[in-house]
Amino acid sequence: MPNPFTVLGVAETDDDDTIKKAYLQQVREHPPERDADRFQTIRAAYEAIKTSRDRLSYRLFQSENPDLTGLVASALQAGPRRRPSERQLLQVLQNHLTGPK
Amino acid sequence: MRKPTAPSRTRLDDLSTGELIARGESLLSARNYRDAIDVYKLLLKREPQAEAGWRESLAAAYLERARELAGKAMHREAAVLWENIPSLCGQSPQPELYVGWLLHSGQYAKAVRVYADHAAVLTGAGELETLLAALALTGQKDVLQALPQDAPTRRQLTATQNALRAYTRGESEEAVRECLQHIPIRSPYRDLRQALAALLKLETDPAGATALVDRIPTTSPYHGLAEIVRACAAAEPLRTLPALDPPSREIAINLLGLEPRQIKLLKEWARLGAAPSDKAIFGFITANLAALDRDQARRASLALLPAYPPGLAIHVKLFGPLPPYQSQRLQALKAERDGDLQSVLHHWRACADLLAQDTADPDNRLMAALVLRHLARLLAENPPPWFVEARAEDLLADSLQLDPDDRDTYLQLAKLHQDAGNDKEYHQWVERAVKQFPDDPQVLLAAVATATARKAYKKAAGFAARVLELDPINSKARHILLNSHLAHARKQILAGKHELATRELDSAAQLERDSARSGVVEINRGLLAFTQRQRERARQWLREGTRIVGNPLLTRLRLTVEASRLRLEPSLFLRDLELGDPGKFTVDRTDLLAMVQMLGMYREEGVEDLGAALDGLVKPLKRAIKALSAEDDLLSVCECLHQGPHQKLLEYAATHALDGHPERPPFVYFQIFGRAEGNLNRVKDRDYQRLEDAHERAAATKDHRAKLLIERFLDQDLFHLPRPRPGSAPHTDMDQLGEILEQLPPPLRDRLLGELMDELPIDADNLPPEARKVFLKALLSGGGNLADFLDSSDFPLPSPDRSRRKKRRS
Repeated sequence: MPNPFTVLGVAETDDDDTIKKAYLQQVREHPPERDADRFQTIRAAYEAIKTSRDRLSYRLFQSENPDLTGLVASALQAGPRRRPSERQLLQVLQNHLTGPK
Repeated sequence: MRKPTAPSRTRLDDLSTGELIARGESLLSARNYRDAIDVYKLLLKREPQAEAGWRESLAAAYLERARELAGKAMHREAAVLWENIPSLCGQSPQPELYVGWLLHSGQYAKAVRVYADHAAVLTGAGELETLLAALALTGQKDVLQALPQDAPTRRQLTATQNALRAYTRGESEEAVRECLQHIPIRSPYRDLRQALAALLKLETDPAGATALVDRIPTTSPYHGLAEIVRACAAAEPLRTLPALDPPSREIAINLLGLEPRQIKLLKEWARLGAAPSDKAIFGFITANLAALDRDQARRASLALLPAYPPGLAIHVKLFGPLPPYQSQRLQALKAERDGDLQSVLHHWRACADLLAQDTADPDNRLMAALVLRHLARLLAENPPPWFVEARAEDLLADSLQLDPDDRDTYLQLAKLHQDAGNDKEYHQWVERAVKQFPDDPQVLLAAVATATARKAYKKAAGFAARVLELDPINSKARHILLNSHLAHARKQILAGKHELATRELDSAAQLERDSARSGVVEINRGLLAFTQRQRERARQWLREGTRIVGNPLLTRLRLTVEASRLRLEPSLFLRDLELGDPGKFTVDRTDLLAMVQMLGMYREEGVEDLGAALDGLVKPLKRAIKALSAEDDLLSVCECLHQGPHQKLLEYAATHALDGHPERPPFVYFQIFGRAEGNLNRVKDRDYQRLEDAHERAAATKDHRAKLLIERFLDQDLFHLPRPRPGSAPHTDMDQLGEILEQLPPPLRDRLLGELMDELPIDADNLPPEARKVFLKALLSGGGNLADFLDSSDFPLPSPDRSRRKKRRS
């Protein structure tokens, strides 16, 4: 399971109310009918840390390997976007044209 | 085209024209186009003026063979093959394929010429035009030179290049859109127009960008740009980036606004591969700490330590020392991974102790309690061997010292003791739970159950009433209160206090919801009327009760049990109700399961010997059981009959269940139990063996219920001596007994010896009990005083009694 704190965008020291608000916000952004997988992830994250007991349990017994993708993603906060060069775009086009069919 | 081999050519030449025609048709049908070409060429060589059919077939064979070659990316060869068709067959089928093969093999000038020559008849001309346009855009001189001046591909090239440059030079969104307007909607560059619009939209509305590129077909040369847009617009772009080729990924990284150090992080992450080892992941985290969020990296590193213990020193160096309990915690988690239960117990206990002692953090006591509960759960899932001293009950009780505010732990403790048969502790824990959580419906319901078990019905009713105050729709509490009033009503009926009985029945009736009436109140009213010698009134009430129950089987059962509880003879009423011959009752699955539920409720109320109520219903029940096939249904029925008990039906049901579910441990147990009427002494050797085998299977499949049932049955034999398997040498009971005792830990051994000694019957040889005790103890303990007995003439050696079984004291 991805780190539930990362999924909900909360700190380990946040209280029950803050976490619940973060959960509801996430559900609004990713409702089940539109993004079922993401919703399940959010739901599971909330269930894992919704009360202080749950958070302590998670702290004690969580032994799954960390979600590396989530960790890297957090490190890749977007800076200013940079448009590709003409050469880069034409290279992609060229690769597609000369690639095997 | 490969020349046919000499033997093959000779063979073809040897064939008659008719044979060649047949062969040609056969080869075409079999899709052997290469050989079909040879056949039809030979035919046309023999008869150049032959019918057009042969030329058609040859053309088809060439075309299909060319397609085959193109499918293997041999576009040049495919094009050469196609070129034979016009010259040999006088036709040019599907020229768009030929143009495509020319383009893919880099013969652009030729492709453009052929395209221009056949423009009027080309199908899929749009795709070809798009392809030509893409080639022109990438600067293919051959294409540019070969394009007619008025071709849209040439006319719109400049506008397309302007739009591309406007975007890549970083001009404003408005400026780029202005340029895109100059590319017509039906232009051969329309896919690039879409792609550039989508790339622009990525900057403000990623989801909208995806919608734009959805219009670019997968066959388009600009499909690669569409994939870049999708990857960047994805909810988690990092999960989609790896699928892109390196040039596309580089574009995506720039579009996502990533910095060089982040790009380095991405590259190293990509190098980790799909399934990196724990060590590799740990190394990645610690090597890229500067780029990662420090707190997340710390947590990730800590999470890895159970799987990668050597990382601990590095972790401490990077993130500082860990609290003392963490070391034990990490070792405990590692032990869990390794399946080393003893280490798990040791380290988690140490962890809990350290947490409990460290009062610096107010959460530590709660964490210690959580650890103990976790440990209790582990023990429940993986019962330890006898030499490991750990009991879930003790751990849970200790956890409440640290955190008394956990309702579920109280209830769990109560249940553990209840399951173990420790009634006193079971009741005590429920009482404590009630003191701690006086307004919790679940706790109060547990209190109802213990009060009922102790036959303190008034107390039980009090708790149930409180539950209903807190939770008016709690059906369980409602049912319990209802039963409480019924119990009181029965008491009053038996005492001859009819008015009080009526009041109790009225109270019970008020508790029954209209939608859930069972007929039990009406039946009891009828029985009350009978005791008051009001026959007609009795008949009316009983008929009303029958109507509500609605089913002859359930009515009969209900009446039989209720009458018996009032010490009335059921037959007095059954005849009058005209339910019919019970032997001919039709009982379906629904009826059977309803019966199971009814009997279950009676058992909860403490009614005993429900099996007797089933005696008159054996035939229809057997028919109904025979129609069952689902394992769950059969298990429910067997459980019911086992507790009933009704041994004959139990054996029948279990035997039928084993037909469909062979060797399932619970059914093996039920069959043998029923067959032996619950008496272990009546179990035959073969069945005994089957029981032991079933016990092993139950343990292996973690069927704890079946395992427990078999153990309890076998515990009727205190010293569960494995019976000799057929064909094995007979053993001496005493030897076996001694061996088993030796394996026990001393306290348990002494206790069992003591019990054994106390239960020794007087021997038929009239050997004094004291003497037998000492003798037996000597034999079992290693013969300390044996020599004294052997030498004495007062105590003859008793012969071993192989058939004796010791009953366990309950």
